[in-house]
Amino acid sequence: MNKTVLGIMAVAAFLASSAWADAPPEIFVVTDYAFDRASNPGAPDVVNGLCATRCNALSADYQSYYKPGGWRLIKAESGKKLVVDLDNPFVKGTCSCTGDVYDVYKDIRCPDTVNKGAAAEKK
Amino acid sequence: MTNKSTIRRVSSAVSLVGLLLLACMAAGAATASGAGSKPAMSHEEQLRYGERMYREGILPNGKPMQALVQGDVPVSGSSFTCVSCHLRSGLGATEGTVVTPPTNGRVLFQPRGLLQKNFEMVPTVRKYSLSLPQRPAYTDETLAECIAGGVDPAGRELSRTMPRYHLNEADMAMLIAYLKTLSDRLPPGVSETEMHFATVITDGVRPEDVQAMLLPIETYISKKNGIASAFKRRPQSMRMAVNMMGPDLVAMKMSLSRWHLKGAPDTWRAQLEEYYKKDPVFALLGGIGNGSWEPIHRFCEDHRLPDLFPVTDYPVISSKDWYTLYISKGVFQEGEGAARYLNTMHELLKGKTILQVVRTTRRGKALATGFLSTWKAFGWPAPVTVELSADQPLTPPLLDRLLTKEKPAVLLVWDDAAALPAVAALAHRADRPGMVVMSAVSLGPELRHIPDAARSYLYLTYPYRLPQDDVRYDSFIDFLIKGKSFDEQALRIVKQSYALGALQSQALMEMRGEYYRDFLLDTIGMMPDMDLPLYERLSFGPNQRYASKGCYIVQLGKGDKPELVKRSDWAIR
Amino acid sequence: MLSARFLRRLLVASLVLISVAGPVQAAGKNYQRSIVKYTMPDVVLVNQNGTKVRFRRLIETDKTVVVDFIYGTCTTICPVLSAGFANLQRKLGADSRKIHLISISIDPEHDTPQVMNEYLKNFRARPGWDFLSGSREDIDRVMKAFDAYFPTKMSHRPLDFIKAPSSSVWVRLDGLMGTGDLMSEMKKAGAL
Repeated sequence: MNKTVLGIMAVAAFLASSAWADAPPEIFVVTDYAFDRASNPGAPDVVNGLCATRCNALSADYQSYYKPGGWRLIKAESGKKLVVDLDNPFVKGTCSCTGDVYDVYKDIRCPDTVNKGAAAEKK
Repeated sequence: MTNKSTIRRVSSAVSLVGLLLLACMAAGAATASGAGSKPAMSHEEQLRYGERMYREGILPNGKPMQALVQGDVPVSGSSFTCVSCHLRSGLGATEGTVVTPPTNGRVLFQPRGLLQKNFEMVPTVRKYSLSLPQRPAYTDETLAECIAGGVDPAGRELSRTMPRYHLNEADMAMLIAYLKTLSDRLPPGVSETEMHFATVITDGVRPEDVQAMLLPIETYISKKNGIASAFKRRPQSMRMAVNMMGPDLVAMKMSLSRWHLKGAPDTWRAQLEEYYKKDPVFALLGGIGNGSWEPIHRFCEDHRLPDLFPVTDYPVISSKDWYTLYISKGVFQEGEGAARYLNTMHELLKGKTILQVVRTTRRGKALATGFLSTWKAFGWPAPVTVELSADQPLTPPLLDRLLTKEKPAVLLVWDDAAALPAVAALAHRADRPGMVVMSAVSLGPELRHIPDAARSYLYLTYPYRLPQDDVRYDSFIDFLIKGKSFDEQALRIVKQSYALGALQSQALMEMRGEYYRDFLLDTIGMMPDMDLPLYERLSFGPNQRYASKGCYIVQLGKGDKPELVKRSDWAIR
Repeated sequence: MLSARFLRRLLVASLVLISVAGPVQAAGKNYQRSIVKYTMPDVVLVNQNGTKVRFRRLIETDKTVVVDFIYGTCTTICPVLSAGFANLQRKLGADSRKIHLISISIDPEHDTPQVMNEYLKNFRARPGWDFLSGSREDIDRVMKAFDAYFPTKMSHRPLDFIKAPSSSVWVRLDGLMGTGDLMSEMKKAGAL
């Protein structure tokens, strides 16, 4: 058995053990949003934009897990709908934020590559 | 390629403009002969007109240049300038799938081979070279033919993306004279063996902040010099470095002078001139100051000297200046963020009062200016503004009086943590404003100790990635900070300066051995966005001079160890 | 200096064209065409006047819609695309009212309403050409909906999308083209 296969097995074993040891932290990545018109039928159109801001602010930045490296995201649920208060002091209502849920795993990396951020930047 | 298809391609491009050109040239000849009565233009004047044509697309007679692109799209030179594709240095660029060749005289008047000499094995340069065709050297005559007719000296038709410009003979000569001056002679501070930089340190900055700024830059330079030494000792073992950097950059040593500025800011100019005279540099890297960066900014504009990512809360806010590239707009950007956030709900604020309380410190004024200029640009009336002198605290009774008088829906408090008790006391006021906005950065460590009762109505501008997210980027700077201790402010400076190292190293590698100052800024302007510690996204572009453009609006979560909670996008629109 | 030799070349080239070559468009199409079906997200974007617009409503209209992706400080690709839009408006004259041109920013951090407004003025845009920006999240959603996601603006490619009023599909044009090509594609799509 060569080293690569052993390495893959080690990573798989680590992911499996860390997954079972504790429930992994979750992140929510918003894919769609809408103002719930029924929550305030008379609300002005501006609420659509406010729900955009409200839902986007709830969304984790997917890229910020991939870009630095060291994290692995595995989709746990698709199309989850969260209904949240608009939470604005000047208008009432609720927003529906739809998105996907990901489990976050801390990845294994070779220590030598971890702290070579500068070198990685140089590609 | 068959002769027939060559003829078809060449003729199709040339013929369309051909008749137009004949008319233009006739007009040009008339202008030239008519110009005989005017005094001859000096060479400097010609270059100025040439520069104007190149950069602004405006003819010496004040009218826009005219051109055709894509075969049949007439365009005005003022919306289709030479500089927009060939860039300020004239050294060209790659954007998406389109490669723009250099257009400076030094390169044009040499034949172009298949590959750039000495860079045959450097992948980035190789790719660029292979995307450009071989051709003999241009002459003034063939260059004029190319600019007007779109045919190179090998008889090849240029891409239809290159406009075919209608220029008379005299104007064409001025443009060509200007092209000959572009990126022609190496600037001060660069030789074949060394690239010399300086960093400006002004009086009064905490020593630990100066060290935080210097650490990434000096580490980068020392690593680079380590590579140069290794290359000198065993060139054959450095093949990968040669491929990444090119044979010249890999061997080049770098050095950094520290230019300390002492005394009052109005004496800095003379000190800078003196330093520069004795110690010419290619560019300024980083630098740090407590006050406005304006004196250094102006000096750099006047000497055409790039100044990359100085650590300053008070950059010059300008859409026209070229030589200083800031990492953000500093304190101004927080005020701007607040205005953008309130703009998203301006419909709900119509007819309501916005009250702005400004402590007239440099920081308070910069926050208020950022807010006001952005708010006004949206077309909204200025808020009610109350200024407090630098030594006049915002006490609870004072704030009470102001609120009773103005009854604002939104209260902006551009002050530091000293204003927190007054803001917290509003929790008990029935008619308190719906939102109170402050600058999180101005609160310093007190940010985490905002009383619980105020957390529901206090909104904060936060111009960085949230700490709970930024922790994922710690591995980038571990190698710099391991075993050292930094407070929050110094750690931010390390991250800002680290971004400079990343930017600088990448830019130099992409310069294809052309170490010209304008090309350094051109190259940075064409770089992809960067994801680094501290800011959500650093982005660049020709003429963009503030790399981080966002600012969150946040609230403080509950509990003893509260997290910041996003209430907005990074780029609020 | 424009020489006698060059004049001769021009004349010869013109004569050769008359005898052997077709119209300019026939010199070679540098773009690819495909017919695609896309689902648009219901996101809120902002136009050059600072007005919030719901993107899906903008697209679901009785006008022909032409979409491209640009940014305010772009060098090579966008000026060509935008000159194409400007020229299209001029060529269509009064008919240009039936067409809605939509440029979407791929640099939303920089492209504020003010920047976009200046940009359109520079190209002498007429009413009927909007430039839209938005939050990074929303812009990413629109780019992905058009199968035109560029993680960074510097990796973008020239694209035009045409949708005829009654059509549920888009014509996707990949590459830079002249106004003649764009108009003939619009005709082909039943959009003119």
